[in-house]
Amino acid sequence: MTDGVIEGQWAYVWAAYVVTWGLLGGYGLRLIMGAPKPRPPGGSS
Amino acid sequence: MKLAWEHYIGLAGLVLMAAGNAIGLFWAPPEMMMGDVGRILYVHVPAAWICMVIYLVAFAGAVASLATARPGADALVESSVEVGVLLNVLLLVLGSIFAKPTWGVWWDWDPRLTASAIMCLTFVGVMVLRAMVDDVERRASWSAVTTVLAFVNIPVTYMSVRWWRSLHQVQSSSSTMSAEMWNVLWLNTVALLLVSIWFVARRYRIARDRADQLRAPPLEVAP
Amino acid sequence: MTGRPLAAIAAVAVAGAALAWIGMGDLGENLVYYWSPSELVAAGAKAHGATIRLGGQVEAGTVDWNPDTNQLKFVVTDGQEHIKVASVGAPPQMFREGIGVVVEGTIKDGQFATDRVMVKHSNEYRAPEDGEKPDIVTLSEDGP
Repeated sequence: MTDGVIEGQWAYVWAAYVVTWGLLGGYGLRLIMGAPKPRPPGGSS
Repeated sequence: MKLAWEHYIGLAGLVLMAAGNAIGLFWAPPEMMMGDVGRILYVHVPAAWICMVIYLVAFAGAVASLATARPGADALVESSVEVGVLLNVLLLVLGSIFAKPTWGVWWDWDPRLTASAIMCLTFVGVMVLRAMVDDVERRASWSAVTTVLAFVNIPVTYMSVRWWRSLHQVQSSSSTMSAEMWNVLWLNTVALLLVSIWFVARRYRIARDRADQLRAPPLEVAP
Repeated sequence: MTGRPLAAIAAVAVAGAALAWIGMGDLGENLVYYWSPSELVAAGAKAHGATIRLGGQVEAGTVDWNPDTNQLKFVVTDGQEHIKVASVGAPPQMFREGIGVVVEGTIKDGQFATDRVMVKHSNEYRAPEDGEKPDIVTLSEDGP
């Protein structure tokens, strides 16, 4: 990327983006798994 | 099969977030003083803004729930509080990762950080309360009242950097940021907003579904 | 199941009152995250002994970093008063002359002794202009 930067900088950057995708992705998957099941026909409205 | 409306928003949010994050990581310039670490801004600040927006939705839902006692309003409280806490946790973790290389510490009890932590704890408290109260009507009114009270802290958290001395800087604006960074920040903010709308909408449907089943348990099929 | 508009109004009113009390009350006076050099000097003996935070700018030309002894010395100022700070360990990467800092420690032998130096970043985010490189100062072996 750029030269002259301090070593280890990108570790913090990657950690931040991985945490973001991990947390949001994990929650998103949980929501997809827990989605309401289609009602059997004739059930309450 | 027709897709529910929120899926279009969620899909757009996912695409925008992937693009916005990639732009923030690889295209946006490094910051003059922070260098590449400054790129954490593009996930940290959207988390903060959208977290507060979702808590505002929870507040509106709570007021509506108290006023009308409609199950839909209670489901909105349940879903937006949970998504708000998710973003709040993300905000705190990202802030900590941002703080170490820039401020030199993972955490300090400055007014902004303290208020953000209280914000997280109070809304976790609302979730715990909901989990403990079985009676549907009591759960709705109690969690609505606690949500309204917990919301008091959101304007305080937002203003904390202006009202009190803090380690955390005051809010950035287009006049304190280079235009190319400001635009990337907005792209990522819109993306997270769309993704969060999908979260709240999906979680809302689950909440409605569960509440309906409580009210009218499915008939057991005779053997 | 009926709604209770009065309860909704009451809850919002209580919340609004609490917010006004926090925002306009004198909580700001009691909630001091750090002392300025002037306040620290004005406090005199009262400031001795306790662990406190001092906040201000790193005065230009006062930074003295000794990598052999791991000692960092600098002066924190608010433009009025100047406090000598003695710190142990390398400072954060963004530490430099003129930047805002918050240091936590105690007054010892006329100096502010600290092992926790925190750098305040402003709300400015600037991209390097053409040809510029990110201006990161490392306190390396040969000093800043």
